[in-house]
Amino acid sequence: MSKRTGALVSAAITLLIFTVVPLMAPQYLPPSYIETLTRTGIDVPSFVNQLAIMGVAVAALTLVKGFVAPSSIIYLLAALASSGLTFAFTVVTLSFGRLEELGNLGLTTMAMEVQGSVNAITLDFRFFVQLTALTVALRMVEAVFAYFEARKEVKVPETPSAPAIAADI
Amino acid sequence: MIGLLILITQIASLAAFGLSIYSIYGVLSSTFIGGLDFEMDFDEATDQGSLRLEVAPQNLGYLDAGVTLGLKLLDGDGVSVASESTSVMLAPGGSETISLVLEISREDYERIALEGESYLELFVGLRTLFDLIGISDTITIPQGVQG
Repeated sequence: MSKRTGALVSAAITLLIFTVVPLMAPQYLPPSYIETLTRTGIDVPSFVNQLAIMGVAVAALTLVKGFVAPSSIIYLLAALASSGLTFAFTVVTLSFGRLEELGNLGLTTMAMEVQGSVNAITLDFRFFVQLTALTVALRMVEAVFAYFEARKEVKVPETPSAPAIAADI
Repeated sequence: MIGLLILITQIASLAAFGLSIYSIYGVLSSTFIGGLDFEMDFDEATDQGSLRLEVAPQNLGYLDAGVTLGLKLLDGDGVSVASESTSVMLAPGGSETISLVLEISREDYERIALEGESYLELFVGLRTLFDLIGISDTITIPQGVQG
């Protein structure tokens, strides 16, 4: 499979998992689930749209990486942006798309009223955000190393060898 | 080398997330299954009222889970009249019955009864994955709703 075909397949899978599935999922959930989620302050359509937009962005970046040379600065920027989006995706998912909770990086509080009782739920998933941050940092370092490695490989054939220089003279 | 480290981190992260969610779901569902029963009594001999709550959480997961249960009685102004809490550590497959008893003096008992407004606050906290992740639920029930 060529690099471009691989990128097309990878982008299609990304689009399917992170855009198509979230957009279609609410249709298959019982309305009572959606109602419960809404009562806890989760805006389901907005949450789904956030995931879908990030899915489209990641798929687009995957395509870019498949169609430009690894030695290109665009490739490096796409790789770094893709890693950054992975982190954003984790934070948004663990915050259930609630913008006011994004800054808490995995510590999410929700409240809902049921038959006069107030139910306040706090989820502490900060460890997973920290783990994702570590993974993303490693992926970024790997992308930078891969970029410089590719640049080195591009430069090597361009450098004329000693006998060739002698022949030119 | 970095690629391998990334792969290991991602697999470990996914496994930890799955195991943690499974433990949390198991303990919480066993805690709340069948609803919560509060028993309120007034003992004339000791001149004290008592409010009892009993739950039996069970850890169906594969990780240790720390469960904290708290019960608080608040008056109409939101001031705590009595509170009690306890914590237990449940090993995988383990179960324990937790009883909480709030002792309320006659004075407070009568005051709350006269005011006609009070709140019962129930706290259920759960931490797992070596205390790294957790979930807590604070339920505030106005008097007259509980039961």
